[in-house]
Amino acid sequence: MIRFRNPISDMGILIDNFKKMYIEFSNMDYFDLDNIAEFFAREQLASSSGYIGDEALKRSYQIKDDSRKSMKMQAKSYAELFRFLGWITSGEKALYFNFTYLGVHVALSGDGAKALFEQCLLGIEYPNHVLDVKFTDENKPFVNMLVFAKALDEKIHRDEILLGPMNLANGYDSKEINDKIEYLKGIRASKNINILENEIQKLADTNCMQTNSVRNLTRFVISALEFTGWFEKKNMKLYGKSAPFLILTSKGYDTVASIEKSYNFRGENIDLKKENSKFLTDIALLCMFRRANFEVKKDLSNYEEILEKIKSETGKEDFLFSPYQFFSGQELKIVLPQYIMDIGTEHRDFETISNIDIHSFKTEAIVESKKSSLTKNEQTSRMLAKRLNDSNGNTENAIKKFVNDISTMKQTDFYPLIADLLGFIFNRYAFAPSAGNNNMRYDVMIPDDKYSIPVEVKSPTEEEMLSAKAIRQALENKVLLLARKPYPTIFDISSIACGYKVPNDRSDVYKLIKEIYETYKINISILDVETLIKSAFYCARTNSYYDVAEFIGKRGVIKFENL
Amino acid sequence: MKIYRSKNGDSKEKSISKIEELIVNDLSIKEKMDNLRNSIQVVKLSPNGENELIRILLEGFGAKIYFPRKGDNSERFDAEIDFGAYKSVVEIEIPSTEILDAPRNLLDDYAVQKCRKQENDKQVVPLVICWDLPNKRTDYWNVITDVTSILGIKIKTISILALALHYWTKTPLNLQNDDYYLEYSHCSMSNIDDMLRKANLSAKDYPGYFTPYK
Repeated sequence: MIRFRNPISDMGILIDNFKKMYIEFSNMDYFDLDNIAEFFAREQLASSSGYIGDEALKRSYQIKDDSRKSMKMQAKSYAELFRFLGWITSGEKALYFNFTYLGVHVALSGDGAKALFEQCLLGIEYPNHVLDVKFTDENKPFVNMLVFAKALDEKIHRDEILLGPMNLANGYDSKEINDKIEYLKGIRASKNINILENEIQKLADTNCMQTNSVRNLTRFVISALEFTGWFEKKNMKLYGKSAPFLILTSKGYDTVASIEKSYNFRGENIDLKKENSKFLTDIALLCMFRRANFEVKKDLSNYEEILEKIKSETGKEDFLFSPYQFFSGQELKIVLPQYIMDIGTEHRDFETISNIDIHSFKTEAIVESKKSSLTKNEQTSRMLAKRLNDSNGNTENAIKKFVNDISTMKQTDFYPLIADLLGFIFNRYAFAPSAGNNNMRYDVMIPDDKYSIPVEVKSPTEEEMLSAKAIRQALENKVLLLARKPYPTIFDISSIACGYKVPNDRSDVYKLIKEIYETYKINISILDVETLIKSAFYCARTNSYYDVAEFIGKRGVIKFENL
Repeated sequence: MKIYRSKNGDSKEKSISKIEELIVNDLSIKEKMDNLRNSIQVVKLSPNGENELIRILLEGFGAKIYFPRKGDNSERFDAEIDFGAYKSVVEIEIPSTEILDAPRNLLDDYAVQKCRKQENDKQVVPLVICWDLPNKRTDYWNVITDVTSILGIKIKTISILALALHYWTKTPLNLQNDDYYLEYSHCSMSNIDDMLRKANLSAKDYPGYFTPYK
């Protein structure tokens, strides 16, 4: 199975970024992944952990292990894409890059770049001497995607692309192609999406991958196919339920026609030792430019005799092969010496020095309890006592069972429960605003004479872990409470978000809490259900409660003391 | 080194996108306005249509616009615009059905912008770009007022039609002043009148686009 990386899904931006790279690097002796990563960071073409610019690069390069430096990995996957598109090539070392003659055309042709991109898709062939790949397929996948789509009633589904044109041992063998087309027609005749999914599962199993990962291999493919205008996406019910298909357009149809009248040539068939290798590759390149509507008529006319000869032997009048997408940098020097690019003399060494903390931003808010002389909310108290009793007095089991019981709870049951529990531990009546009151957007209010706290609640069916969205809402709750004053409060007291679980240590949520504090001086704290339940059992057992005033200036994950 | 010339660039039939056609065409201003107003479907049905539309308009003012990369959860804003002297973080609401979420999203975007992107000295203007304005009685306008009174931050609101009018009438766009600071007690774009008058139009002909529908 052919695997495509997917650094970006907007092909227009891909081409733009390439042009920007050309402007940046064309006068250098060569450029490498660090140069690309630095450039992307500087031009804000890529980000790392939500940072852009220098800061992103620094953060990304803090990690020792190369394969986890996100900026460098983004640079690597861009470079890989540009290599198999034939726009850059490796020089002396595999990861020292220069622009190719083809790449220069992409960079300098304005809107013409798009037409050239289309031809480069058709030019992708495996195996090649550009990239080392793990799979053994011999195929021009994009050529076959068009051929398959035409044969399959001018439309193709993402999964069919995976099972068919991306999965041919020999994509030049008409028998194998026809067999695969029949196989796909058979699946489609079932009109059952499950059969298609089963086949994808089998494919994933064979390749020891998850089905999602297998499907991700088509992300570049699908966006490229749409970008070219060869296909349009449309939902169709061919598999019982509505699913997106790529429908061949008239432009796509014309492209298939042009493939059909072309001599589909493989790089492996060119013997570099033979003199004919030079003019064959030159013809192939010029034909490629011609299909992309470049002005090559005059130069191509030099080869008229040869083209006539090929036509009489094969019946084909065009030549489908892209030398820059097959030959290595060294081989290109032999086979297309007339197009060796002058390289620049500028050299840039790369270094990034920084000492920044890239660890978690997680902070904790410790809250102490007080002895209570007031009467507890009787109902909640009885409910907790019953749960404890059901677990034979084992608090740990009671907590576990309670957490488990609410794991599937919907909003309508979850919000009042959270209100009850919060009311219980703060020794007062906490409540959800009446339905339809749009001015009160918090989910639960913990009222107080001085320090009322709004609570944003997320039920486990809404989200398992609190997300940035909940934090945004907690911030808004606080702003609206301060502005509209339905309950007295002060600026410094926390706004709470309560959910089934708090996020993992590396979550953006902690960063956001910190940034909201730094920007607005508003405190947001987050609470998970298990902590809340634990604290409720604790308050019931020790006849104590927590004071809302404890939340002045507290932010981060709420931890109750003594738990 | 011979570089072949692409014939695609200079062809008269050069394909310009449906979105570009909405902005760059030979129609009169009134026709352009009516055409754009009726084109929300065209915008929504073109891949990345709304981003392209906003990009064309903003680049017309010499601004640089950046859209977050798909799948990057840490870039939660819809767009970031660099006007040189100041920056803007943007929530795009086309159509305007979820516009009530925009202010809180912008508070997040603004904090991230201030803390992560080393823009401490450059002014950052939070901006909602919408198709049409929410009605007068929606809470949106109150939230904008509340945010200003509590946090001192002015969230600006501009409709696509207003952006386009700036573009067509070559009127500079200034988001630093209060031209587009619309809030509860003042939720009409008053500076738009001059531009409309020059084109013999009135804001009344476009209810909901420069002033709330009701």
